[in-house]
Amino acid sequence: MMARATTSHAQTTPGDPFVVVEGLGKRYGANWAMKELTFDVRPGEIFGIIGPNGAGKSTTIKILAGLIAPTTGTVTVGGLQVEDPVHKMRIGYLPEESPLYEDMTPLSYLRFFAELYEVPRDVADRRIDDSLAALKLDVRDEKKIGDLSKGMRRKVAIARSLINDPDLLIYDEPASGLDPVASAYILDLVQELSRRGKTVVFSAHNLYHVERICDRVLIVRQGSVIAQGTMAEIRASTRSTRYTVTTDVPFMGAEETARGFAMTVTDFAEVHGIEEQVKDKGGRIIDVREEEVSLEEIFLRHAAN
Amino acid sequence: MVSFSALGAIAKKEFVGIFRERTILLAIVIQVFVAAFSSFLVVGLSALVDPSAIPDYTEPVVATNGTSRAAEVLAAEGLDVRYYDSDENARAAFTQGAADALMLVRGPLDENGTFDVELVLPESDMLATLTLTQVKNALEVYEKELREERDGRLVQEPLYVEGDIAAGQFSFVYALLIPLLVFLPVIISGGLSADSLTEEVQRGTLPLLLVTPANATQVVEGKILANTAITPLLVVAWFGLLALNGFSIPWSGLFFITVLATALAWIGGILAAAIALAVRDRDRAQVLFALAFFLVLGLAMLLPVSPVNAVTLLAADSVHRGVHLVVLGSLVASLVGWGLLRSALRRAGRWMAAGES
Repeated sequence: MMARATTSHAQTTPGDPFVVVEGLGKRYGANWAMKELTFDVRPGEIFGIIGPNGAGKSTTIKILAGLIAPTTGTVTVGGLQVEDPVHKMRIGYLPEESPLYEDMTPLSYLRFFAELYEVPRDVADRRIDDSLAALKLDVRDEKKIGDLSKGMRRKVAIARSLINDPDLLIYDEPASGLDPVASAYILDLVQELSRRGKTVVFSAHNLYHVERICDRVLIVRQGSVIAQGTMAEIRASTRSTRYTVTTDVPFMGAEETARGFAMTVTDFAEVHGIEEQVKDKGGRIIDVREEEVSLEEIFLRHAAN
Repeated sequence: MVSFSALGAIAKKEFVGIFRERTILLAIVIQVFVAAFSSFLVVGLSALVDPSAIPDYTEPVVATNGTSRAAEVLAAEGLDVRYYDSDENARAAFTQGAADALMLVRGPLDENGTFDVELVLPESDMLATLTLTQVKNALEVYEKELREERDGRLVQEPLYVEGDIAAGQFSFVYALLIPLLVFLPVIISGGLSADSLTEEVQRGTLPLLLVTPANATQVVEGKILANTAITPLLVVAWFGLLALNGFSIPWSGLFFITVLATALAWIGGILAAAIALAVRDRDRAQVLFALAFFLVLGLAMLLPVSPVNAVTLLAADSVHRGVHLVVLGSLVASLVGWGLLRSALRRAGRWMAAGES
């Protein structure tokens, strides 16, 4: 059963995580989409959720947006449960696709959502102008959304997610399927929003995007957490930093190279072991090169497991 | 926190969207055409059952071969019967255009008094149709006369029906045209609600509405509200156009018909919304809604006064207690339906958003 952990309209204190997810589980019939998912997101942070298809990313995103109810666990955003109607006023949600009303113009579409959020017309128009300028999107003509390119439609969808000036942005694949230029604009905008104090929960298949802009990352597989933290923490916890040690004398397992004898290890303690070996042989370490494994490699390693 | 402005925003967007739907606009334009030219339409269509309704209509001329009881009945029924002394002369009068129809009567052919009647009409045109209708009506009178005259030959006692049901101009306008004009907006508004909701589901825009302060109830109610609003507007417009064409409806009748139509459109909208959210497919929802609507209407026809009859009686200023009960019953049914819808949406709101099963 889902616990009711917080009272309505509760606020967080400085330093508290903005999003707190504890023991989250969602069951569809006999199958669990996720189980015992626990993580938190700090204010102003860009938090990435990655995982293979069916890992439970979209379900997590939908629960955060208040669209579906969890089977177990609690989710609070800014001290409010996601079931609280006030929660809706404080989030901006962007689903993976950009479903829009094709027969509306971008302006009428954005004003319609402003009305839903009860944003006064002058404030709404100012926000629309700001968003469109930030997204480098000129839709002042009467062109219908159905006539816009995919990139422009995505930008309209992002402008819609900002119309209520939300504290938390929940973005599912925001740059998915866009050309590199449009993707770059959108990723830059997400970073800019984070700099302005918005908290962003971000799901993506493109691990380069995640690695580029996310402060912390959650890797999920089959509904369970594999790893989470900053990229450095994840690399450490998954032994994903490689050290290539080059020496002037041969040692066990080393390969001869142009510069000497080299070996790659994943634990820094092994570097000390090598140092001891070569000292005994009267040699020395010429170079230790640290190489960071990409998120993609870490992810693939976990996916393969 | 309940956002009433969300309901208004959704209803406003939906209402504006109706006028972007080309199919709906076309349907409305056709209805406007029907109502605006109702006098022309009524004259044309009712002429098929009552040609005397045509202004300046002159009875068709029927050429016949000598006197006969059939010819006498035709003359008594107002047709201009011209008698000729032979089949050939009567036929010549018809072929030369001196007569609109030719009726050759031969007999009696046997001891039972069997006659052979040959009726010749010009090739298909409006006049032929009108002449046929007139001659057919007159011959039916003759047939009735013969049946009564010869009922002694029957083994069993015949059953006589009191009075004739004449499908004249009055019955055409009040029993057919007006209910048609009133019920078309009702079914259109329900169809629009079904369309709109299934589009939100199929297009994936529904979750975007539900992450705003609008809840599932407001989204559905806003859509039904906007689509129902076209019904009273169209009903009042139809009656205005009918009045311009000389078919007046009493103010009280207009009021109660508008209330009845609006209540029925609201019920239709609720029915359509329930079907749309259950099947989540535009085409299937439309078919099921149309079937359900006509099933409910068909069942309502079993009542002593059905909504269709009530519209006719209200329009014809022939109101009795049963008619007001139908209007009141429809209002109560619309409120009960509304309550059921709200209750269901409160339970199924999240399911509706995510499409979970």
